[in-house]
Amino acid sequence: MAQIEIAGLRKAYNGAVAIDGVDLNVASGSFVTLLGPSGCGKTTTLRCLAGFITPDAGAIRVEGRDIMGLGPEGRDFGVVFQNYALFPHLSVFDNVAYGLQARRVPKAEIAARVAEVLGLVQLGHLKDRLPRALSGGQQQRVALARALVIRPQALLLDEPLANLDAKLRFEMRWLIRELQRKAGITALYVTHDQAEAMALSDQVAVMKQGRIAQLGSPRDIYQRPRERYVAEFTGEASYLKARIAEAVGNGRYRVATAGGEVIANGPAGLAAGSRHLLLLRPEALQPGAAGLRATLQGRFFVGSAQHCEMRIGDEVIKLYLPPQAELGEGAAVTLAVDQDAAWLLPDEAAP
Amino acid sequence: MTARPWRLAILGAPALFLLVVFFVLPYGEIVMMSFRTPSSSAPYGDGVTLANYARMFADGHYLGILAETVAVGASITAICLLISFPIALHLSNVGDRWHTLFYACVVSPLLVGVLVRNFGWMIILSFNGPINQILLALGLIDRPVRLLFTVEVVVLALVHVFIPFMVLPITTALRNIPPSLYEASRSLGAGRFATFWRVTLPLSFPGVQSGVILVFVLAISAYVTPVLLGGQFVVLMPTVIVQQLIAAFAWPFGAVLAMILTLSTLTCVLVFAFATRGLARRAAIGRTP
Repeated sequence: MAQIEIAGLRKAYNGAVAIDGVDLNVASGSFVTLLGPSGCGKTTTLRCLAGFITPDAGAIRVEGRDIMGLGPEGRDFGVVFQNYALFPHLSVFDNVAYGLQARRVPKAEIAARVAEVLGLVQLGHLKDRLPRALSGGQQQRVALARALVIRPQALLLDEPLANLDAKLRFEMRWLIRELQRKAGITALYVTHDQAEAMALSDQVAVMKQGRIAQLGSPRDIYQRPRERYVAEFTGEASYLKARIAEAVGNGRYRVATAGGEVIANGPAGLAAGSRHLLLLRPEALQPGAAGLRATLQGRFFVGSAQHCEMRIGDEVIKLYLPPQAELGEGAAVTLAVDQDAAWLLPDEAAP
Repeated sequence: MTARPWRLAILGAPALFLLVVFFVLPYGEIVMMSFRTPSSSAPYGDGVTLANYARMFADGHYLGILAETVAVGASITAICLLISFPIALHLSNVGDRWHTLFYACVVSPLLVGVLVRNFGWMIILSFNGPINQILLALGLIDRPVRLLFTVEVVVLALVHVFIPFMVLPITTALRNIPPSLYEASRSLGAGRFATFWRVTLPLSFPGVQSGVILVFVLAISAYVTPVLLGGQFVVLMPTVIVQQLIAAFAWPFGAVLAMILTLSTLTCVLVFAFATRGLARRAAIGRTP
């Protein structure tokens, strides 16, 4: 368990910049996720931390101690890989015992600790199997056990669930979170799956082109994104051009859109008359008595809801309607806006 | 598409034909010949006998040669392995750009024909060849020494030409090891040496096994190099067999020697494969679900 500090981390491969000044503080015992599309530098950041690659510049400190001079074997991190990276020639027991043997832990203690951690991941009965005789989910649990059993300073997880099917991914999410909480261990997690990031993390760092675009709680990055990129990456989002009519409270504004005026939240101190984008999450909109005037342009039925496209002026927004709602195409609808879920973003296209 | 039997038969026919004509028939002939009486007018006479085998086992001379042949083969294999492993390790690490060049270097001994290669060795190692002259110039010796016609030179020349057969399978095995295994090992606290010992070495074993078997079989049956570089001073089984067949015209006895050599080789290979089967099975990569 340890606090990790990454400062000004940079890495380029043959001139192509992979990470371009990453600063990140991971509090002791917290779960922080690096979220972003492929090529955003999230894996490079994790690999720098693990010691697999040497950054061009920057510092990495654990509990205030610089670890840049240490090889991977000296850093004391438990790493979980996307492809599991289990040793194919070693049994489940020997895979898990590997790190303890490298640390020259006495045999009896190794047996006890391996048995304990295999119990935690419910694989005690498979300890003599070779990895190839296990399913993908079981292999990932062995990988998790192998990283945890050494009681590392921190757990580094590189897209550990990417190779699993949807149902298993869901179960593993719970397991990872539970084990991390129970052990009170600091964890840094890398994924491109926003739902996974939000479900697991205390803090999510959304990465964009080698930098952290926004660091915040899952609620923050979803409901109060700092830019359109973050909004887009964290979930389904629609936007309306909006002009601020007046401030009606701290960080609360009355804004004018093509569909009428609504009340929305935004960063404090936006000037009246300035142009912004109004972020509307689909679940923030309901047909109501007062609000945005829109016409239904199209819809499709997905079982639990109907996904609809609404036209407002020359803009289109998305929302979910209950499955039983009967609306014909072209119908005029008034949409009530949930004030807490409407958020003002800087309009990057505006002059 | 389901493979129909007749289709398989057609596809396999050429290979089967070659195998029967050039492998099964000659071997059958050798086996049969080894049980025949000698003849002075034909390769073998009409009688059927076990006398050829009796002669072979009664005469310690031939068993001694067999033992030496196996020992020389085993030394060549061991030396090849020791030299080849570091080369394979390097070859599995070089980038694509240099890869072809290094491969070409490794297989270069095979690019020269067997006679040219051996005459080359003879020139280099002869009384007034470059090696003797260098040793003289350095003052390490005061008159030329005999380098040729020793078992050491035969071993050296065979190691040289068999290295590719050891390097290539080991390289393939090493390239099949996912790099993340090394990273996992290091991150678990194992240093470079421990990682080599516990991950690289065991997982390269399928390649080591193929290389060892290939080189051993080739080394034991080598003929030209022992004859040219060993001369009369290095007598190994293939030489003796050819002497029996060609010089002594004793085809049935030659056939017995050939049979014994083949069976010995086969036994060595089977014992080795059996002794290491557990390691090979565990180390086989790529069959994960």
